[in-house]
Amino acid sequence: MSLSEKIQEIKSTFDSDYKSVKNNQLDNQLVYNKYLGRKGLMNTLYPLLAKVEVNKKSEFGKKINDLKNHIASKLDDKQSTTKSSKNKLKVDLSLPESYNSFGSIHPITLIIDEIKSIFNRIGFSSVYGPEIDTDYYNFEALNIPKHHPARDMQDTFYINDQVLLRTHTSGSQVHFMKNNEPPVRILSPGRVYRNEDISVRSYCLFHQIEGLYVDKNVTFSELKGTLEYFAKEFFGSNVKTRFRPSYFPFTEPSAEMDVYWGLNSESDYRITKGTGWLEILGCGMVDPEVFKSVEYDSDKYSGFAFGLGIERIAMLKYGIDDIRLLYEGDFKFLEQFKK
Amino acid sequence: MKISRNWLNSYIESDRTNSELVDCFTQLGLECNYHLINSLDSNIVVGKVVECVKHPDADRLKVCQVDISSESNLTIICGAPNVKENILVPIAKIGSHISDFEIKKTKIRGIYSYGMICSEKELGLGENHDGIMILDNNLEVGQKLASELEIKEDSIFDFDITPNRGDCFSHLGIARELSIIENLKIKKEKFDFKKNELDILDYVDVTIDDYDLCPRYACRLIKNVEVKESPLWLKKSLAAIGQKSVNNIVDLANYIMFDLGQPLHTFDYDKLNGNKIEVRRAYENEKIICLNNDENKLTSDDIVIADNSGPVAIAGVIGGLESQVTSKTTNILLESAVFNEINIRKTSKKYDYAKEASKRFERGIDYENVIYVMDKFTYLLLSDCKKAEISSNYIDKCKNKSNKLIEFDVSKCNSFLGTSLGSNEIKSIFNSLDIKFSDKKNHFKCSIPSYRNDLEREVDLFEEVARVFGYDSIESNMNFKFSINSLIRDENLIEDKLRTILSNNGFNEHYSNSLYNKKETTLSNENAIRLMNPLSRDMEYLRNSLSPGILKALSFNEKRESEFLKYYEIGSINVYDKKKYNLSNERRILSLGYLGDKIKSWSGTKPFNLFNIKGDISMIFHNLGFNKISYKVDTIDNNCNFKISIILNGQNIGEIKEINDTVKNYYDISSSVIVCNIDLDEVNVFYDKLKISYNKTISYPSINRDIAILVPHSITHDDIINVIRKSSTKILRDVKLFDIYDDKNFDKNTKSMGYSLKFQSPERTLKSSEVDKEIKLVLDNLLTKLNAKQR
Repeated sequence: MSLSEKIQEIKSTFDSDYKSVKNNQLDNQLVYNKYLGRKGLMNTLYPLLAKVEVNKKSEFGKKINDLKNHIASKLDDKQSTTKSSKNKLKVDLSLPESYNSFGSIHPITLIIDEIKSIFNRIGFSSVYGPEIDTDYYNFEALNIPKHHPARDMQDTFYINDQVLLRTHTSGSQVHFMKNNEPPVRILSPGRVYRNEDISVRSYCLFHQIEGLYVDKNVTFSELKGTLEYFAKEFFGSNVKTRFRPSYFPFTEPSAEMDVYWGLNSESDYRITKGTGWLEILGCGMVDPEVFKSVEYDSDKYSGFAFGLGIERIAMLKYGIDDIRLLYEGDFKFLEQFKK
Repeated sequence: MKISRNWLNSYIESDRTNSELVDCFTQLGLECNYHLINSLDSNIVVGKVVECVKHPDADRLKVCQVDISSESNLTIICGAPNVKENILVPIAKIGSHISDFEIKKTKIRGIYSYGMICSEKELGLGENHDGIMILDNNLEVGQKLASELEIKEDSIFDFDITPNRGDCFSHLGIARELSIIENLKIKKEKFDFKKNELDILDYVDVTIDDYDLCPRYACRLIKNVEVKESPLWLKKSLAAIGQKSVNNIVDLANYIMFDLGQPLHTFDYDKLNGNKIEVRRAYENEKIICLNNDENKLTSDDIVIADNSGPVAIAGVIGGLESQVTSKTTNILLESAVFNEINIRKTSKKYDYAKEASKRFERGIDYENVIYVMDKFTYLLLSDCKKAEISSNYIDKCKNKSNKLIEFDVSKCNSFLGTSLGSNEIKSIFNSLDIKFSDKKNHFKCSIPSYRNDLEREVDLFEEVARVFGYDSIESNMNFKFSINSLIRDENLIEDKLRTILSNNGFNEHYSNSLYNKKETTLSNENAIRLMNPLSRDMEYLRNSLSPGILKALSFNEKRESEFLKYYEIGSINVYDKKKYNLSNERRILSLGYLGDKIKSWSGTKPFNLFNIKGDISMIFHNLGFNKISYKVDTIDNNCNFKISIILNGQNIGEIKEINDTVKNYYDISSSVIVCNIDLDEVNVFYDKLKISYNKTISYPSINRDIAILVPHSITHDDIINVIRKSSTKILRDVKLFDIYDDKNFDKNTKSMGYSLKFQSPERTLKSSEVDKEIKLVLDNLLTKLNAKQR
């Protein structure tokens, strides 16, 4: 088939195809591809053009261009009528997505991640301790000898006389310091257990994050600064905090940090016991007895530690009023939490 | 612990409001809140019963005429057994309020009653409700009862005392803290009283076996006491802090304990056998019947007070029944002592008597206060029992003890706290704490008051300085500095990444209770760890698999009409391992759970099967950066319909299981359930070593060829792929399965598999003939190795 015949043939097939093109973009695109696409019919003409005698090249070149313009302008017309018509895509977009679930991240994870990222920014690295531990790591090494009244503060699950489910993440401090020399700047999140009846407010397990910083010349003033920074990042820069003396056997001085929650509703009165202040975390300067347990020289080093309960923070932040919801796995509950 | 503000006023007065005090105490580390106790309604007055006759229509009621010093007497109907003529009684007039109800004019069996005669309990002055309260004859009729009895309104502070502050378990202790707040000294009276010519040594001799068990033991003999109802002031004081009244002796001992923090014990002297008292360890299996009628078998950890016949009290914990003070008692032996904290704690724990007394002994007693306490008791007793005779001397056995000395360095304190306190500020803080000191160039030698058992080291004084100076007054240092040497890699980074991958792909994260019952531990065949003291049988074991937790959640949701769910949990499992220091091999696990085998939507129902799950797992590993993950059918256990191992780099790292009906019945699930467990510790080993390697992309065109082959059913896709790959290694870029076809026309044991092969060279454009050769080679090999024929 000669080139001119070929050109003629393409023109006639196009004209017939064109008539059947409906007013929608899809068809238009198909026709466009058939003729003007990279593998379209028009492109099959160029190799033929190469074989044409030199003096006729411009004549055929023009014919090919004319045809190309003809096809393009016709399709353009069609395109514009399609665009102007209202039903460009005949789909009811209000139909639901075909997803079954978008997925969710548990509120406990969300809180842990947020706290981790706040402290990561100021150089705290994450480490992890075991859930099952010994009396030594959980109590003795933290200056809570047997028969110390402070043991009443934490009801413990035992595996045997010496082995127990950790009651706090503070034992991670001991594990870490035993295996590492200062400087230490760590966070340790994890699951802890208390032998307490399950109720709206308490569960037999919960999660904590422990923080520890040990170096030369660490001061109480730095402890305050660090935790105020955390409160500002977590609760917003307008947050009001206060520190008040407390007691933990493994820190001296010990403190608790409260944030001002306000007294705007009945539930504010309930959760703040009418004071407007809400206890957020416990902290203090590492007690020299703890340093003795891990063979750090307390004349040379000082440090601070803090610990906070994740569930409590999650419940405050999201307004969850029953701790059991966190462990039930109700899809209607979970699907609301996303990063 | 409850503290009455009126009571506190006897030591130190403060102008601050209650809520200011709450703030001040909280800032000192004594958390508390308060509530108010109202005085009596002013419409409650003193009345005199001038006439008392039987109610004509009721056997038990009496009609009384009561004089309240107004124009006419009131007619009041009263049912109390002790109402009679010529007694003074409290009258609640019409319109007055008793707790929450209002007294109104009421008709009782045809006669109007114009008020009520009240019992002690109704007035909140005590526990007695057996009859009406009979008042002292010297009160003035018609006057307000509140002013006649000096009943004032009061504020009760409820303190949450931390275990280190044993010294704060009394009004005196709280007053000392208030003196820091107010910068005032507290008033501490001296108590003098008449003594009789009684030498206690004629009556009793005390021996202490071991001064470590009992550092100090004092006692005094008081003869001729009258055991009776407590005087009103005493009842009122105890009622204000929530304590019941028993009798004047018991109440007074209690009062002194709440007042001064020293528990006292009183013995009926005449019930003691012989005149020797011994403070010693109990003998093994020695018995005592206690005040609460329990018979206890003692051990050598217990400290007892014993007479000739055996123990008469468990020291510091509970008294013996035999020697207790009763209404018949006339001579008492008053004990004021200090016992070893740890022994008391062990004993009170063991017998579960965490009573007010043992709580104080456990936290440490003021050694110096023992005699003062006994004196105050005696003095107050004498004001109630005027005929009582007091021994001229007392027994006081003690080990010599001097106040603790602690060295304190001002600059060390400042560098520890980050403060810049001058030595004068430190001095005034020590003064307010009653810490005596001598100083030499900012270096102090401090003598600690005997009641502060918690202060032992220099750092404890730093804490006191910070506390009194005020935590909030210490400036916060926000210039963070840290050494790069403290930075370490997060070992659980993979978990964060997995959560993102899974939650972005429609999985919901779950946290489950990790305490299981025995049945739930059988989903894994690894040895679960059992708790010695579980909350209940349902939570007796620590989880050895995450699947039961997920199954419970799926069951919960299926009951709430969920049809298809994808759940996951990342957490620890613990498996018994006696070689480990904590008896446990703890592993981090990712567990997936799928509920349902189809996804329904308006656009139709799509099946959800094993290959979707395979897709999820490959997706997870692909996103972690692993290219190749393989699967192997495993032998089933009695929990599942099928079980598949997941293999990464030749290592078995997890399993996929379809839960069978028996297990589903247990969890009450009816839809199909597939679970998948992946050992993250194993994956982490490979994850750590992962490196991304880059292959140059090829710009030469590729050639695709499709082949269709008939192969026996026993031949797997992997077998075919292996043969194809081995047949053509150089230019074969990719092989994709595009079709599996099973036709009745085929031989029974054969299936048709269609593959698309992509050929490409990194160096040049391939010729069709080259590819033809490769395809022939592939087909030949498939035929010889797998008996696969081309269709």
